[in-house]
Amino acid sequence: MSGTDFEELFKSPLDPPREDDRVWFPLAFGAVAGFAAAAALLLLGGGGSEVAATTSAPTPVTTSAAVATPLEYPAGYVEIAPDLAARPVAVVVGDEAVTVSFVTVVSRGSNPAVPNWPLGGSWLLEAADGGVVSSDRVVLSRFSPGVFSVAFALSDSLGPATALSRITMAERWDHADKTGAITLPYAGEPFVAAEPVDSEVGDGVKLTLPDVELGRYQGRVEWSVTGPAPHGARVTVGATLLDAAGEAIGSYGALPELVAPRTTGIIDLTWQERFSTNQQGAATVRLDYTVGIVTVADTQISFDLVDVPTSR
Amino acid sequence: MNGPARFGIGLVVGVLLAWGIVRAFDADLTPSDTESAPETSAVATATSALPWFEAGEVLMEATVLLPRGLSVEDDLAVLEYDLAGLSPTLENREDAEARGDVVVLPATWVLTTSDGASVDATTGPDDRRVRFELPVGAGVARIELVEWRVATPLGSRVELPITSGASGILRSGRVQIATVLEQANSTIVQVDLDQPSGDWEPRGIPVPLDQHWRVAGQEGGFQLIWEGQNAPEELVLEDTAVEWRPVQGSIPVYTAETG
Repeated sequence: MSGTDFEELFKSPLDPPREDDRVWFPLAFGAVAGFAAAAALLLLGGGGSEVAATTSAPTPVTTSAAVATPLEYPAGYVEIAPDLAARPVAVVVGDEAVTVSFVTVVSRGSNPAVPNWPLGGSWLLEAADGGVVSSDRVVLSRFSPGVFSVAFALSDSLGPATALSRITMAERWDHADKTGAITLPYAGEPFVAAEPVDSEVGDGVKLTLPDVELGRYQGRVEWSVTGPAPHGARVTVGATLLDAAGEAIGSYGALPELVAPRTTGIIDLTWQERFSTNQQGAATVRLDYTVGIVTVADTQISFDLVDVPTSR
Repeated sequence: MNGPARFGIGLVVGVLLAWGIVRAFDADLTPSDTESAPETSAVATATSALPWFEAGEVLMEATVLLPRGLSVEDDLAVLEYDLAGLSPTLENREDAEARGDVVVLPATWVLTTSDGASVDATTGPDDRRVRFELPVGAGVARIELVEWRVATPLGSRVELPITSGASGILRSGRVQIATVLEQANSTIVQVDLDQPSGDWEPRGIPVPLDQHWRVAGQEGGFQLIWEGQNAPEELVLEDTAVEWRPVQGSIPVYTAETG
């Protein structure tokens, strides 16, 4: 054993560092610091394959399919709205239109029932030869917001055999929900509102219910929105019968249904449960509404279509 | 080499070391045998480090397949599973799991036996188990999903003259005006709907474009009522049919090595 080895054996941690120690100290300190920082990040973020939650996207949103969305979402999905990402899964060539179908997912940990899904928008379809066409309409699944399609009408610049390269969301239709209630005196079954009722829902938009009918088992509400809502709104209305003390007797509701935004509509209601609707029981009817006024957000979110399967 | 440079090298070494240890630790946490019942083994799969719902899950696009166990008995292998969605939903569920809509469904599976033979099996939308008929004495080496179906909403529209016998085709089926009853203050149109049957056929509900029509549904069709005397001469019906379009690929669901 050499003298250097003996020195190594008997040295104290409190000894001043030797020249060699000074050489290695920054390296060791860096390694410890790097290990600690990386381990903390990896463990918090899920073993290195996940990253922390993204923040809400400002408007306009600019994202590119080439920039992988963090593993807040499954691989291949690109965020199109706060806490919502999409991926094109099919191109369907029909007799009148080319349709690109999307699947959406909510971000990790988000409540899938929160209605932050876009109701529509405008999209651009880019062909391999550089030609660009605008979308005809967004097709919504009636009962699930988890899938939607974008249809492009066939034209001189978009044929059934046109090779496609990219689809871009240029405008996203958001719908910030506003809720409220209208209470009317209840005069017995069948109930027909004596005159149209309306309510200011905010931002200068007025909801009008020109016809409210409530009967045994089912009901019907006509609605319209006026004011600064050029792209319309998604409107849901429910009805609850209340006794003189304000206690609920029973309620009417609509099917959970995804409807395209519009400025007028009719909602068919059904009983949520069996209840008595005679005049002795019910004193008032409360109409609870949710109005999602569509606003437009400029975006530039692109998806590569080269590897998306095409079928007829 | 100066101190900052050495510190930088150390930093990189530390990061790499931490990454390696965490990855190895994750691999150790992957469950192997959690079922205790005879002839049943837990299904081990390739999973992300942080599952969406539970360890051992298999991601199919926007839906997660949750294996519930593989049993092999009398030359029959049965894999049971649940499905959980990552997609937004209209259902306002209050349970802690907060699962979203299932928009992807498994369809065609391939089991590879321990001696290399392949056994196919198919499942429908409502199935939550897949059955493989094994060659006599064969074991299970691996199971993979080779086709799945993705919900695809497609719209269609048809314009019909309001006369008995007028018909058209929508994605959700064939519609035909069966009868037209003109009354003093209303017009009633009975529309027959012939929808194709089958697990994967499109599902949709035709509705009139003009919401002045009142709709009353019934088996095999629907009734449209126009209040007033100014009924239009043409009926425009549209639907949004959800088609389950097939996607081919390969998603490992079970391997004997890790199972």
